Amino acid sequence: MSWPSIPRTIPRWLHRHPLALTTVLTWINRIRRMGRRRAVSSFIAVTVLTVLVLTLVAATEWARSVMQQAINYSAIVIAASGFYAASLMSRHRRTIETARANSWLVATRLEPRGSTQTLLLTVMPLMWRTTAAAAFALLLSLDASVSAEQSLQLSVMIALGSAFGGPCGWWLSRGSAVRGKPTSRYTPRSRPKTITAPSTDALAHWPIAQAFAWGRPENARLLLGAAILSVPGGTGVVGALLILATWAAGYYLVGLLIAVPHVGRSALQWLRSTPITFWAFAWPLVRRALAHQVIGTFTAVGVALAFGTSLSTATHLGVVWLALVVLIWTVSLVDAYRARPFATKTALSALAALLAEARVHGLGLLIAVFVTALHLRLGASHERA
Amino acid sequence: MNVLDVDSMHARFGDHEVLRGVSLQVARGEWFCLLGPNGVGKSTLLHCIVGRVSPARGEVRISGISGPAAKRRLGYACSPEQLPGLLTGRQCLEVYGIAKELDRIDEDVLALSEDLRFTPFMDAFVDTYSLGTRQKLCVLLGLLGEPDLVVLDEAFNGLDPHSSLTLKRHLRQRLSSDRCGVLLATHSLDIVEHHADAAALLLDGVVAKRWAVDELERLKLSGEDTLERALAEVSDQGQPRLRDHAVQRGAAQTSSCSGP
Repeated sequence: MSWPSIPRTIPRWLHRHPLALTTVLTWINRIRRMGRRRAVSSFIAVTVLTVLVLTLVAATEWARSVMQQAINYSAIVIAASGFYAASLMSRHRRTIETARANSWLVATRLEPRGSTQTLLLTVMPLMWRTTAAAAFALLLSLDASVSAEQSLQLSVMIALGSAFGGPCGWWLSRGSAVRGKPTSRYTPRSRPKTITAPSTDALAHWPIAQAFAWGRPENARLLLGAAILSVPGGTGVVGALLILATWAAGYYLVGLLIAVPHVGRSALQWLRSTPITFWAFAWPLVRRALAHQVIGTFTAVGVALAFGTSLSTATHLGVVWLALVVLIWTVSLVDAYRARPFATKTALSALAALLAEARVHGLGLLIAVFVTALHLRLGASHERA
Repeated sequence: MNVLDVDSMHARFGDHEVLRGVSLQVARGEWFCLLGPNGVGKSTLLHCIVGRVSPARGEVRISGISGPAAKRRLGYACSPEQLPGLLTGRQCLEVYGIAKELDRIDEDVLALSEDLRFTPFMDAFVDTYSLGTRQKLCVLLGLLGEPDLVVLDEAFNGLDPHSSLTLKRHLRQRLSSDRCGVLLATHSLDIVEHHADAAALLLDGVVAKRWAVDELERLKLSGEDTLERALAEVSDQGQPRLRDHAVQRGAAQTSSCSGP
């Protein structure tokens, strides 16, 4: 058999698995395109940095106390690990099956769905994550104050959670909508609505839908794991639910903050060729999201007051958050509208405002107002140009 | 002998039944065109034939064989966006060859690649290709391994006139020597008029009209736009049901646009 463009280093048995072969070739080509030396040095740099960071984190007092807490509340650790494993497996299985159904190799004789290869591909991400977490737990035992027994106990708890959650996630994603079918334009089922006039209403829903999508358990599994771990032992059900709700609300508000620039860029990819003005584009996009941010901030201020924070501090934090939201949205949307990259500039503006506010109360707010006004002017002048 | 037998095929997505009992046959040496307005289920039918969609009911036989074994006899030109961007054209052909359990790339396909002026792009990454170049690669993949049935979904889209003509001639040559049958979903009436041996109009998930080779010949003789008018007439008869369906689906799509 002659397949000159497939490297000989690729084992023969992989030829029986064309999907896996495609993935391996894609990685080889990616490295080839990047340049072998650059790829190797990047890999070494990332590995060294990761090991260094993990070792440093493992050596901190914080890591030791977290571990101690985790061992004391083993049920919570097992639950968090199980939940993480379930969401990871369910998402991964769906991803693999969608890729299979939409593959360019669909008309060839691919392995059957329940094959060992598919199973291995699905289980592998969970296995390496569990191994990494267990290795980190063992790394902690390098410190004299943590015994090897404790590290082992934590590793076993993580492995137990994965062993329970993994199969649950696999089972839960069975018969999912995408199984064996490509995504179809026929599937969305929503209420029929007659179109009467052009409307930008859809833009207003978009960032919210995006934030909700990011908030799905399978996408927010790390944060949900952290949220479960943050519940102190001995907390009642209501208390635990309140803590989880606070995490969820915080995640939603931060997700919404990032969703607006993200969606703005996507929306402009197809709206840029239209004569849409900056205001006609930006206001519909942010109005609902802004309302949600205001309501969320007011609620957070109320909760903070209920927990004994002073009125001035709570109000100040609320105002700073809202100013930050408006600043980030304005800078990113104006620059996206002007077809310019905005990530660095937006991050620097927000950082400058935050640092100034930390130094002198009110200065950061002034900077935020100034930068926002400047950008709004830029946006308006760009549409006239 | 038929290279394709589709027997009362039903397919549904959620509550919507896209195919409602489609039956069709393609004989060896026959160029069969599948026509129909957008969204009536042409691509879904092709996806059922190639195994991308599992039908709710019905059977597909390729050269008399059904199930996964039938894929040995099938050639399918996937859509350009399905191609792996980080493989070269040559690697795509080779991986596809391996997937089809071949020993080497057919000389015939390599010759067609030359004729289509695809060879200079063979060692470039697919993500650097233009739409037309990707389309050429898809067609070449579909023709690998001497398939009995070649399934093409709008495969002439994006091809320049020279490549389009070359491909038509190549397919004609394969058909005239009875090497395969071709099933093409298309909106191009030019292909139907000049190359098709049979055609069917799909409307609202059912075959609304069939044209055999002699009927197509008659239509060709009776004037330039006769086939176009015949199609429009049949489409109009099926329109009320189609319109209701389109309104429902249009509304669903409008609402679904509200999310990313």
